[in-house]
Amino acid sequence: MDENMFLSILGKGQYQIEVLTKCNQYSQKFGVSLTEKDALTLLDARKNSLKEQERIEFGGGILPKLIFAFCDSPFIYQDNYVDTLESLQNIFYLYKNESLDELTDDELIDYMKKHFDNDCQGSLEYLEDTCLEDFARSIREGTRGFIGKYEEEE
Amino acid sequence: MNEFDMEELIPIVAELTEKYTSKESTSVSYDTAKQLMNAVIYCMNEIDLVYEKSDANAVKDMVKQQNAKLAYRTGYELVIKKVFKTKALFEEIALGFNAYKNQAYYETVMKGMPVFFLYYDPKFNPQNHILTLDYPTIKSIQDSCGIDVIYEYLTYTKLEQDLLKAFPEEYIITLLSNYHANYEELFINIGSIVLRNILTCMIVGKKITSHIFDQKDAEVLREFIECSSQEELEMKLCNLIQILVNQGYNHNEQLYEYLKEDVKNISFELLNAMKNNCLDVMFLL
Repeated sequence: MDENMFLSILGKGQYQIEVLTKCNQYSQKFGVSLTEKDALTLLDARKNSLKEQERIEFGGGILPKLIFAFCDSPFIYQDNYVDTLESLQNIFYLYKNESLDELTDDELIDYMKKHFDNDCQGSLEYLEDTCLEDFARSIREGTRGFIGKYEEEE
Repeated sequence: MNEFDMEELIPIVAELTEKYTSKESTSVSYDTAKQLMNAVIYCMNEIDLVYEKSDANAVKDMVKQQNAKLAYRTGYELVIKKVFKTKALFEEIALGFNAYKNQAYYETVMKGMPVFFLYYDPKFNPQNHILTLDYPTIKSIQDSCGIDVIYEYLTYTKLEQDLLKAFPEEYIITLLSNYHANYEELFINIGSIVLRNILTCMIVGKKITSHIFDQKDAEVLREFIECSSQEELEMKLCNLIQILVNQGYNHNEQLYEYLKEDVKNISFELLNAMKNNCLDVMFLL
């Protein structure tokens, strides 16, 4: 099999770094960008996070989606950009598990973004330990009033 | 399946994962990934299983010389075909199925199987056959899983129904009631109990519906057992089963092979009954 294809399937190598640095075209509008070294750091963190959360990821990974969702946050600036992305990535995988995979990536990211910018006021600890904890508990209880079209109904 | 390296399977699992999550999740848990990898391996193994039996080695080799993706697709189609074949077999059984008031038998076949066909997932979880198959068959199914198990189980159920249908229902129910007053609630194989009685009758030379057994019959049975070792006894019982199948079931070789599995147990029971001087328990009527 073609090596690049294999690496892209597993989300490794130069291919992934290129994907992340391409996101700069969009994020630079909000004053944040990633260097190749930053991308590599984030990809290493991704590998550890997936291992820790016992998950497997094929393809591009969740980082591009996190970048597009969070780069316009008033609480993210160049100095804390990489660290925040790394934490958001860890939190994301943790709560994919905690929500028993009942949520799509977009639903979870939407919820994270909404609360990060509002009641969390940019606090990752509050987001992880309070907002998402309640959220995951609600999902495990089987309620759906917090996502998409169901949000307004309940 | 062994012809392919694990790295050749990863793109197939990746594609399957995308379908599984409807592209709405980039990652899956280890458990889900394991389930999907097993699904791919299961489908590929189906090629071995199907073509091994049909002796079409050329077809098997041809498929395996292609890439892993094609082998998976071929295997998947074989699984789907087997599901339809199994469903047709179940429908054939269900038409004249009789559980002889045994709950486990009824619930496993008539309640369990429709649920199986409703929930079986040949794409993402073909290795999971969902049912616990509580009613025991004479020949146990150990090494397979998924649709293969269900097909094999239904094949045995069909053979057993063929065996039982040759006798009046009242006869079988009387036999089972004499075996145990609460036979309806037991997890026992009905065919096995009927077979024991038939073989005992064949040994003593009485009609299977005969209700009178005396000391003389026990003596005949003792003589039959006494002069043989367990292996010889098994051989004799196999011959009796062969006679039964040839005369009563039109030389059904499959039925013979199935019933033969019970010979070891029957011979042990006969020897044990003789040893403990209670051969009369072998006469259920």
